[in-house]
Amino acid sequence: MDLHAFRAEARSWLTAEVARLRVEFRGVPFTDLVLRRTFEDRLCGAGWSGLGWPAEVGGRGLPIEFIAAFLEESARAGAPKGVNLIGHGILGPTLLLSGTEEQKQRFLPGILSNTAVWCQGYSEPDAGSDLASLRSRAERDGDDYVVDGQKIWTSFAHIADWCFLLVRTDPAAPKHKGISFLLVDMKSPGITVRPIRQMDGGQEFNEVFFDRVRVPVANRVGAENAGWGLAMAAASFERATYFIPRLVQMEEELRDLVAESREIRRNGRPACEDPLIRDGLARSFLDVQALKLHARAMLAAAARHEQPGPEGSFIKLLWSESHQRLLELALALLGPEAVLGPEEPTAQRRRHWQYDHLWSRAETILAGTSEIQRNIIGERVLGLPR
Amino acid sequence: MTDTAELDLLRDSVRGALSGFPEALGLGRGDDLAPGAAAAAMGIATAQGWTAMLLPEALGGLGLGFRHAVVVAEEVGRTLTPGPLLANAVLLPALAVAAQADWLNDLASSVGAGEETAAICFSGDPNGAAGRRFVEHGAEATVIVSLTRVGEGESPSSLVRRLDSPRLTPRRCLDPTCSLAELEGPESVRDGEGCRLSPGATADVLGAAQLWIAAELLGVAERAGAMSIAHATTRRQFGAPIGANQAVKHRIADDYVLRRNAAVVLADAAAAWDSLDDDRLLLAHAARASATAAAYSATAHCIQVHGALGFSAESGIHLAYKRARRLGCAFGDDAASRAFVAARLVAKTAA
Repeated sequence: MDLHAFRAEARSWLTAEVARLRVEFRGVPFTDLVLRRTFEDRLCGAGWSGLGWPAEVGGRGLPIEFIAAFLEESARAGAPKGVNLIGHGILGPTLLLSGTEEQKQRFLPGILSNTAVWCQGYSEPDAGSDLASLRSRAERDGDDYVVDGQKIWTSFAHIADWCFLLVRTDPAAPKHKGISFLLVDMKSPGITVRPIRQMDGGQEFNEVFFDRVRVPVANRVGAENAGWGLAMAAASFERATYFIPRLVQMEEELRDLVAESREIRRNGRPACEDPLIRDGLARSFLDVQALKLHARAMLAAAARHEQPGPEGSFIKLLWSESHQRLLELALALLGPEAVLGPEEPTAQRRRHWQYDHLWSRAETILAGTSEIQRNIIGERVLGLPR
Repeated sequence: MTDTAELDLLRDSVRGALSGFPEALGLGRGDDLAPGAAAAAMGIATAQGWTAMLLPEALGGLGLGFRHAVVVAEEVGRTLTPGPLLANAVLLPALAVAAQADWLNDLASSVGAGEETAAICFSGDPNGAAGRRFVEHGAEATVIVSLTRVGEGESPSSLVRRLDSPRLTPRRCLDPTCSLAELEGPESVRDGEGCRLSPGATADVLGAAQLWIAAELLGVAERAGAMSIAHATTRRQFGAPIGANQAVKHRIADDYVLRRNAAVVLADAAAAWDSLDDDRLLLAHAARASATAAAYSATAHCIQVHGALGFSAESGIHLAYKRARRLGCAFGDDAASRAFVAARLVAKTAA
């Protein structure tokens, strides 16, 4: 298939569907979970899921450039983010790589059609950045494991049908060697989900409690105690494309911010004449420019089937911190209007800057904190001592 | 041969040619720059064809572009090589192309062939009314050219003139790898050897300078970064290498990110320059601003990571810092470059 034609087809589908959404959900922000689920269901129904998965499991077998193009077009069209990205981007590829035939047949169709939403049971109250110290236990009892423990910061657990869970199956082994990877039905008896409110007003993540939850041994992916390797491999699947929609978004945000700076007035003059605002805009341009070029190089390496290197760490660090700077600048630009909470509609502005700004505080924490990324750069890229 | 392979070969040959530096500076014990070090560097530059690199073939040059020039400049920065390379290898060819004047063409040809060595004084006023005027390597040059900004704002025009018996007084430079002279008194121009450059031509000449300066700064940053990593890995305190501490490790990691940023932005800007991209000036200034950030941070942290050793003149660690600071205020600065970038961004949204 021709990339150009694919991109054009994606663009026209996305533009039309985003327009339809705006009509159907008039006044509802694109962060709304029902809106997001509706859009993702339609996207999957129209055959835009499993783009890179092999045809024999129902995917489209497309190379990475096509996936990148679709992500770019989604971001350009302003499409809402899905609620099952974890299923599409992490669990699906994990099953394709390490699942049994039975597991693939059982779980992949639900992801492709978006009828099964997944959540990722990794972090625990005492195992955040130091994930391998997790303590949730799974003990064998016949053909089942019995799971006890607690997970936290589990995104979408309150709407998820399934959870993939890291649990300790050998407490005596060194911490990376006693962990297994289980697939758990969220309707199982013994699971309690407690939603956690976020500082941006949203509610995506949760605490999940497991009290003697029975999970069939057949739902274990990979060998017993081999879960850590699976989790590490899973973290690398999306590395080459993870930043594409985020960078397109940042590029558009910067463009919108420049436009706002021409319209918003400070001291009786357009804000874009203020040297400090201008300096901030230029600094954001430098960040965006570097990020674009890094992401392009990373995608090109992935297209050549090179193993992803630790570059992802500095792109994550740079993206999250420069995105925060851009959105801090947006608030500075808004002046007195920056006092409005994220719940207030800001129709006269190009974006919901207050909401985006608050959300950006999560970006230096999720998917490996800035501190962890700096450790990785220092130790794995530059060879500094641990 | 692929583009990257060709540039890698060039990098290897530049490294080979400059392998005597920085030792040949003679600054190892905190002394003055060895007499003849800059001349020796210019001799290497001429023999290697670097002074003819950007000169059009019609003027006897090699007609190469900035994709090549930035490779040379980065190595010059990394090795702290002295000499008026910016003036001779970059600005004279750029001025010759911009001005289309016989006297400048002749001068650029002789410089390309190594028959003359020029120094360029860049200022806001021909007679010093806009501030003191300094000329890097003015004392060793056979020709002094003055480039003077005319008019305020973001798109000034300029005057370019060959000076007749300029009054030059030697000054100590902040950067010990560079010799400096101050130009005093009114400028007298050699007969017929002066012309005016349009705002567009002036922007092109200054844009070329930004790319070279960015590349030299990136090289300086690479040098400082490598020294910090080496020291943080081997120097032990409290029973462990100091680089095991996050306060040290994270600074070094941040500097690495800044260097990688500067490297990609610069490579992209150089390619855009060579293909006459509409955004080439914007990208050249972006490269200068990025590289300045990388160099300021890496060279300052290099001193800090080395502790008292970093503050001692004998160690030579301060040289990268001082060179970064000299380059940082040559032909503009990072703030001016960001102002240029912002002006273009704002103008683009209007369009």
